[in-house]
Amino acid sequence: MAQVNRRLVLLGGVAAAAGAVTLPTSLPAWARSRTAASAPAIRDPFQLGVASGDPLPDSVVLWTRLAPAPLNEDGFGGMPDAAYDVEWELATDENFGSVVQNGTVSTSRAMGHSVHVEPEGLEAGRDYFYRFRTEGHLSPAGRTRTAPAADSAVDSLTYCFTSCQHWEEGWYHAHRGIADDDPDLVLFLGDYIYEKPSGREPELKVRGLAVTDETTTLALYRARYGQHKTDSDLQAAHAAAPWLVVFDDHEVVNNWNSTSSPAGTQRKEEAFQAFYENMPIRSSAVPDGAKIQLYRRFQWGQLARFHLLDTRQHRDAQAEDDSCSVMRDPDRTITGSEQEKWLLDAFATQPSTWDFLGQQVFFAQRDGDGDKDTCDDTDAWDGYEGSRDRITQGWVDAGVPNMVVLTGDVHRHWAADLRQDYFDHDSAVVGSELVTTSVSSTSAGAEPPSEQWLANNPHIKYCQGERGYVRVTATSGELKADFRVVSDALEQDPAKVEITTDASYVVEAGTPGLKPA
Amino acid sequence: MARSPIRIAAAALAAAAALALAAPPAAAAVDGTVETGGEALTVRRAASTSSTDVGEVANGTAVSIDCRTTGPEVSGPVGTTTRWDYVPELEGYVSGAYVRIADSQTAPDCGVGTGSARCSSGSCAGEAVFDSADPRFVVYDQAADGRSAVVTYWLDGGAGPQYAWNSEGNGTDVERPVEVASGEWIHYRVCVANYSDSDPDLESCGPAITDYAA
Repeated sequence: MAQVNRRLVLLGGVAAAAGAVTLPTSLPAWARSRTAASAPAIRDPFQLGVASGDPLPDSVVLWTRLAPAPLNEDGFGGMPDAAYDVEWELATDENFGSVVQNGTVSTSRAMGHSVHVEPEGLEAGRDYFYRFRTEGHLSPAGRTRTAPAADSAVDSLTYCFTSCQHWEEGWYHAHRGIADDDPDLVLFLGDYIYEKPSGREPELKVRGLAVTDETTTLALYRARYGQHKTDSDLQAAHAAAPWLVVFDDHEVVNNWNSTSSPAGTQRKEEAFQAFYENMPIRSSAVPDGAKIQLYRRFQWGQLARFHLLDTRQHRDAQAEDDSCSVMRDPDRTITGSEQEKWLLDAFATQPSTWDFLGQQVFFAQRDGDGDKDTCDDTDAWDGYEGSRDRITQGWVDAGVPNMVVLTGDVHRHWAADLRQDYFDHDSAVVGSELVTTSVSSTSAGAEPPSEQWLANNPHIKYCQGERGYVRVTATSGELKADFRVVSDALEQDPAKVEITTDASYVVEAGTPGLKPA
Repeated sequence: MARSPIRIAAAALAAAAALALAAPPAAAAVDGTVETGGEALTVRRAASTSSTDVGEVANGTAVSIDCRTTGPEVSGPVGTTTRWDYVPELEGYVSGAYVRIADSQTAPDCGVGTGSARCSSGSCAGEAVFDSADPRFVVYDQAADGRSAVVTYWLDGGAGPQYAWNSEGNGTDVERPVEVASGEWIHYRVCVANYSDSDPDLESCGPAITDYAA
């Protein structure tokens, strides 16, 4: 790791000296500040921090959103109904002495005064620093990095992933831990916001929503994201590294593609719009009405590939009850046929050692009684066995050597091996699944799996119901997953909270299956 | 080669301090003239006809309006409007139905860092004034309803709500200092509730506002 970074720093110095892209000039970029005529003066609008995401070898998305009054119920964040020019700059040093690119973009209420910049022509595999300025206000600085070149050897990759951060149910210590771990990447696998206040008893809630209405309109979704982004730990985690983000169900409404309470077209449009506005994702994800292109792929040199899935938008309606005949119907899909083909086609080439499938819901089977004639979880891949079978068969047939599924949703850490027939406890292990617990959403009331349950599901190795995240360090030889836990997410004071590794598992490249580290 | 996020954050902050120089926007007050046709106009603590009468202002008086907000609709010589104007020198709000402003002028929405007030919904049983210059709430209990008046408020950083209570009974007021730094926002609303140090059951919460410490 140390060796790689020295090399990258050196390359960066050479490139800057050679005048790649734009050299800093004697005229400060800020001196050319201009704002659309008639835009009223505003107070410091950088109350939601900065973020970056979707790194490519030559580009990374830079994000902020102007909101001097971030909790306002109208969702406008205190921004007047006017266009504002926002300047951005990208530098190779944290003091912005070596600015390599800068520019100005306009934003307005139509986009929630959000800013998405996609600079191009960057150097692969190096750190950058970025910040924004408007109306004389300067944003905090963020650190980001580009992906290594696709054909480059990469010694090591460290990333953290997490999910499920109900505002009221806990402090975001997990995000503080992520920022302190200094990862190359962060994955967030859904439930960034929740549509409703927590239904938990008062002692399980640590704070309250300013706007408690269910998020049924664009204004309410915007206000909900606005409040989340006032959290200083969340801001720190966003500012520490580029993120890869997908949504799950609560960014729209609980189980929004179920048959019992499907979200209508307008609600999806407004939820997707607010999601795009508030996430550091590419313009390819600008919603087209009630559709959003969320599944996408990123490569980290010859070391890793991330296939980010959307298992919500294109799924067949969830089974009404735990009917095995529906859940095992081979014609049903959790990805939709287009996304499935996109994924299966990718298995044909294996440019990287590790394939990570970043997605929302439990992939491995969880069958409590071990009885093949009963079925349990309609929401997860268990409810769409045809999809799971086809995708697993796809990577087995293609000889994908090191498949690891990354999952959120269930508010507990889990580690599992993947099989093609989970009822045959001697069948081959064909991959592994790492499931992150939640940042804050509670699992109170969930009992640990019993010995009998585990005996019925021997592919499942670990379950832990504390808040936290998973930290993965991958090299060409092995992967190590540290299941990080927060000692008490109901305690606000960081000095009284420990963030520790509860368990670690290793997967050796070329030898599928989790091993205790 | 381990990087220290904390050190980097500190350095970035230092850089920001060197470059960021924005003062809060100058208050864009607009001039108005009280127009009642004769009688004096009532000044209210908050923007509501139910809010406490805190004084009056004579017909024809020139007033400086810091900002405008929305309240109950009122009809008067200037028109029928839900606009209420905040006039700091009168320590309260007057209905826009009695204040003429030059056509070309529009006061900004309230929350301009010169102070503000809100009341609970309905009959304004609870009222509170936020003092931007010396950040604190003055919380008024205006009803013998057996309940406290309470301000619920949020600050930067992610905690909240915090509470500013007046449990002294009808007709009293209580000062509650607020830890908010100069230039930072505070988002608040006024409710009534039975006092609770943890999870009060809030009732009659009025409209929220974001204001700023001066």
